[in-house]
Amino acid sequence: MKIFRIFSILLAAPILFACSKAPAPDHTSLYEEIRHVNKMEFASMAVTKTVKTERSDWYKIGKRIAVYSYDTYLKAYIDLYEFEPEDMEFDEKNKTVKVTLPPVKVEIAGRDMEMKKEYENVGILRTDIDSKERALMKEKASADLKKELEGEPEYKLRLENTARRKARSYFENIFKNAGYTAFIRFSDEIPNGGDFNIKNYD
Amino acid sequence: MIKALKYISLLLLSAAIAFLGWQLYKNFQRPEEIEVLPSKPGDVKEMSRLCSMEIYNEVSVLDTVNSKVMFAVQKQSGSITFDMDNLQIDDYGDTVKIILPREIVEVYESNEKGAWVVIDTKAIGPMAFLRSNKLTNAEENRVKSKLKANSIKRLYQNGTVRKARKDAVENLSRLMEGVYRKPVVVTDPTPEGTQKTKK
Repeated sequence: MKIFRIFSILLAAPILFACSKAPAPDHTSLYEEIRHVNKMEFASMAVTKTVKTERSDWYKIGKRIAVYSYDTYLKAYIDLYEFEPEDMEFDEKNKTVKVTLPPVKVEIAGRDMEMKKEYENVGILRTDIDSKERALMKEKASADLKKELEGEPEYKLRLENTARRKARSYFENIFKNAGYTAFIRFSDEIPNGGDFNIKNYD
Repeated sequence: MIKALKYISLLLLSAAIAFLGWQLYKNFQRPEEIEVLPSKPGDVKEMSRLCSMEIYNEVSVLDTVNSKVMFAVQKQSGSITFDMDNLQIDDYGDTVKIILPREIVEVYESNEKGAWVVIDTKAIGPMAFLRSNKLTNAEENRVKSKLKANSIKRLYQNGTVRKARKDAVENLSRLMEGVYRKPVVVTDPTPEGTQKTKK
């Protein structure tokens, strides 16, 4: 009789458990891990700055012209520390996730230490270009680039768009490995929420 | 007649003074000597790089090239990153095995104001007073390329690269455990870095 009772409980158990809903997986750890990455770079670009110095006075004999150039490096990155838990919306039924990534930012990583001499014509009676003058030329060119970037030039947008495309494919892959189809957008991309299916940045 | 000559000489003197004044004015009002030409952007390079460490440094430079001494101060910026596109991942068993790739160490001159300040240059050696104390662009570039190589070498020697690799192992393990939901082992075959430096 006792054996019969245990047997019937064992038989009923799967039915009982089938009725209770399986708990939704906790994605907190995945969020934490993505956020922990902090900074990820997705695109870079070199911008050549060229600078000229020409000092000519009526009372001086001979020309004094010099042109130098150097490269400055721009990087487009995402600061994942800005990623928030509500930036991921999981749909366990369809195995999809809507992800809103922090905006792509562009920074000047730095510039070449060396300067390339493009042209120099300094008359024998004129003073040579010295290191302090070259340093001043570089300083002016760097300030000019900074100002130019504030004006959102076309090449900066090109860099941002490439970074968005690359970040999208990188995170799609990350979530694919976790078993989800990801729909990715960027928080600054489109006002009023934006569309998760926009993919073409070109 | 003498009166007329007086007037003419006075007129000539006034004209000379006016010409000199105009030239002086022109000299003070001369156009900007330094002109920055439009930027030339290069191609965009795609990447997925994990930034493990950012570098901000200020170094002083004292170097001699062709019997000329230069003393300058430089602000540097840079980073130590890892290429995530070429990670070697083996996820066939119960454990995901990843090999940490080589580090990418980039050191640049910062783009900040006053990032390259030349304090002094001087000629040394016999008859130094007869030679120019100015470094040519090529000589200055030699100083700077040596400076860059030394700065990178220092990052390896003072353990910055080691720390960046250690942090990358931790970051990568945590991220991949979240993704794969199984134990992840990140192996670092070269904890001191992949570049060989003489101590």
